[in-house]
Amino acid sequence: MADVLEVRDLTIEFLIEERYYRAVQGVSFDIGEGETLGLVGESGCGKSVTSLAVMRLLPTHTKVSGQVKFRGQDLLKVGEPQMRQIRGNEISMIFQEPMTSLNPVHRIGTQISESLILHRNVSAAKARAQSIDLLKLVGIPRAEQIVDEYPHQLSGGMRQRVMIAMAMACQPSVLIADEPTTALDVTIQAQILDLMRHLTAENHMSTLLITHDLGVVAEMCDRVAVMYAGQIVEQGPVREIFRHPSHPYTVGLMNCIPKIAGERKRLVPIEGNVPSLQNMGVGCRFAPRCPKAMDVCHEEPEEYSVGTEHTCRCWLHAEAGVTSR
Amino acid sequence: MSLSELDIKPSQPFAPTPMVAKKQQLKSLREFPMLYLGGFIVLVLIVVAIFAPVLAPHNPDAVFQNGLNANGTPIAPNWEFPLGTDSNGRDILSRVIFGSRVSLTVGVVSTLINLFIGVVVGLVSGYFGKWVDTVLMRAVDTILAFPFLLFAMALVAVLGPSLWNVLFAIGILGWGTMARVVRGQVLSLKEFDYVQAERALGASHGRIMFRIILPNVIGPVIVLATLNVGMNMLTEAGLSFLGIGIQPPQASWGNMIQQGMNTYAFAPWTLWFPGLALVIAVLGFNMMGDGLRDLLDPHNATR
Amino acid sequence: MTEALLQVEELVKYFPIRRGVLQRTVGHVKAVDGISFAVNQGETLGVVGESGCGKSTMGRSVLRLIEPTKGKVTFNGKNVLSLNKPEMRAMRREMQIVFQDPYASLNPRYTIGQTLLEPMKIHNLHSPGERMQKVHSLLERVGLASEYARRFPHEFSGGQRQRVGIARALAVNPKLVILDEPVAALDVSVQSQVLNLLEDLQDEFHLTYVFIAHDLSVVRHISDRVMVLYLGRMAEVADSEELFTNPLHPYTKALLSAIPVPDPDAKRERIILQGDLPSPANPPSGCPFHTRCPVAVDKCRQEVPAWREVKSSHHVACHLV
Repeated sequence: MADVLEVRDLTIEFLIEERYYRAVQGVSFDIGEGETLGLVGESGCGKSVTSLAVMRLLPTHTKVSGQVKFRGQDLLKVGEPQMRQIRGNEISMIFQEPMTSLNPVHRIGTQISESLILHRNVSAAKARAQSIDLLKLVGIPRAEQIVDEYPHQLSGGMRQRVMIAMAMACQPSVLIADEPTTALDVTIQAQILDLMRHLTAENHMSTLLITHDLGVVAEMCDRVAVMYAGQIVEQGPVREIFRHPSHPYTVGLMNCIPKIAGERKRLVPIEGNVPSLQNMGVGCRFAPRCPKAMDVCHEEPEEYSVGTEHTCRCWLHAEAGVTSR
Repeated sequence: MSLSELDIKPSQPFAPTPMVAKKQQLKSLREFPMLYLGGFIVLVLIVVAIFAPVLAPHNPDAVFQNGLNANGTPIAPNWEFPLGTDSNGRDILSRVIFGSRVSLTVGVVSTLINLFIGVVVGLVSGYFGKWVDTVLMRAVDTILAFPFLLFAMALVAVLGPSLWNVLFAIGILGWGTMARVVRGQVLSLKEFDYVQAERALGASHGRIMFRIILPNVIGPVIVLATLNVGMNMLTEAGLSFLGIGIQPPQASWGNMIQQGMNTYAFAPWTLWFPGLALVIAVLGFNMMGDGLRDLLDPHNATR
Repeated sequence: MTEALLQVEELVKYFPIRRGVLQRTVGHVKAVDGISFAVNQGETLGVVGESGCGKSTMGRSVLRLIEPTKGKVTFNGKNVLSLNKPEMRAMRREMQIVFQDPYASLNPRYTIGQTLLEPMKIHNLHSPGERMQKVHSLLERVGLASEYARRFPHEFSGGQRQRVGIARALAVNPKLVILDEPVAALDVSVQSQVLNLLEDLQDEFHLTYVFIAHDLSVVRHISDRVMVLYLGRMAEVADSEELFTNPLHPYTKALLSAIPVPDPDAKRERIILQGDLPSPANPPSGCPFHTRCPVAVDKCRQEVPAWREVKSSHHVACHLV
């Protein structure tokens, strides 16, 4: 399986009060053709920032290092005009808030047509026809009418469908979805996830799905990367991660969500809070909250192999040896 | 700033200004030059007004024997009269210095009246809503629909021209914008859960309005009030210029400008200096107001 | 059977839709349309539903933060809706609320200490000297250091603020606490801390909870009984275990099947509902769910289904059950 997107040692630093702080450190992952990688973590773990770095949409005053290779080309090195050719065309993105991600003063059709006219050089009339097809593709009823309506006339679920239609317009090879269903009700979430699953499968799209919901991950992803405080702490195939979670943080996450079936037990929370950017400390970043912390955790662990394509950044698995990558 | 705030999330509808740390306030001179320059001008103005008798070289109302040329024209600036004299032979510098007292008194006191009426009307209107809001806001519309200066002129004409009547007229008429701004803030604030929580605890309406909501609208109100001072100073000058404000011989920049008009052709300083004083004072308050707005802007505060 | 602590009968809240210069009422948003339930002392009633189902409006109407249009609310034997202002103010000591958004529910200008003193000042509880001690003990009880009393809300994380919100509600020693999505804005690891705290506090202070949420797993975890709302009406009420193992209403079934399960090998028989939630300003005739219901028949479009007890303490509003 050829990797469409390869991210290597991505490090992102933000300028806060005249000092740089690392929001993301040494993040590496690959996404193969037609594969869905879930990037999981709590707010502030750097998952959204990572996706913005891939799109080169981070604010100025941000230091980014490492490599983001899209089909072999390092996106961190290409010029802005070239990057504009890639955004929306080769890699497109869906955001969490369907309410604020659409421009309220433009018609739905105009907004979908925009990227078609921009990247595909089609005529306005043709773009409109294609927009209607796209709306039908994402399951919007009355597409011929909706195309001339404004975002406020649509419900949240419908807007997210429009967002997906926009992202799909140029048939990108990579789709980045940042919490695409977090703002939606469960029954609508089920519709949208179903839609995304079909579209990505039919178009062999590679997807980076950012979410905090382990349920969504289990349903949608082929592989999972768990992030904590700016680092990927565990990465592997979805079954591996759910069957044999290795990092104490992953284990903690799985234990602290209430179950929908089975016996009701007292939850086992992860004590403490996520460390802030400014006081990240040294060594393993999870150590202060970790029930299994040891002396050695004052030193930074590396990624160790714990199974087939399954790595874990934790001293508990150090004897397994550093992964070769 | 915690890590979580870096993640892209919808902006909060009303981000309260964090209490800025001392360290941050000190370096704000570089970030907010307008605020400091405006504040400096305002400070100078206040010092001048307070110490007018000490600072003024002459009695502002004294008519000097040597205050006019032989042909009866005002004397140009010289060592004795640094800014020259006016057509009555009085020292312009001293009159400009004493005139600052009038401008500042009218500007500040009338703004305090504006502030009081505007804040109370805005709070009550926004908080209670429904018919209270409708009635009060139509009153505001009405007051804003009148040409302000004309209305003030009419009122002063009825009351008789004097410092206190001018001040009262401007104070009683100029609160419309203030009320609207406060009402707008209250409308969004009262839906906030911390206001709802206060209601759930059984707090009275008065307590919620004045102890909970008011402190949270004070930021924009201060900005508006500062800008308002400059506005009201201009209105006072306008009224005095038209002869229905501060009456001669008491010095006010407005009536000095009016008097200077007559001698402008051959003694331009009689118009320039009171005019300049007015411009600088109004500019000072406007710059301070704009600077405060930038300072209180949450986007700047979290930078 | 013990008498219910809170009894709500036929609660209705319509919000008028006003248009034009004269603000004429042109219709109503039927946010809550005839909800009845009872909560016993020490019990937790979970209330679930999607956005627009009226669950939040219902919670606030019970506390009269929003004045209900119609209905009867009896708390501890007293008719809440007929109380005058001073009586209502006194009553608020008994019924408290915790809000969803920990960023909006604390006054940014007050220190945590001031926020917690506020309820005691309003109700004139304790001597001024004792109050600060009470603040410290409240903070410690919800798992925060007592030094935090001097700090401002913006210095805290969402989870910590939510603990302060809970402490504020407890400052007046209430009997009933309405929890309006108390963990929805929190990260999962923090969410579990707060849920455990709520359970501990309930045991310690014999609290009665009405727990409003959209997350079914959270509701299942904390509730003794669960009420499912759809478009301002009750769809189903049953004991928690019964509802989650044996849902009867087609809406409850769809809702349960829609939850993503954190298990890649879980067998899913998902019922994907078609379409969107109808507008509560213009609810469908008959059963409000018929427009999306996979099993709807003609009767559903015409007749409002009756509220029936189909099993012991399992109520449902559906023609087909």
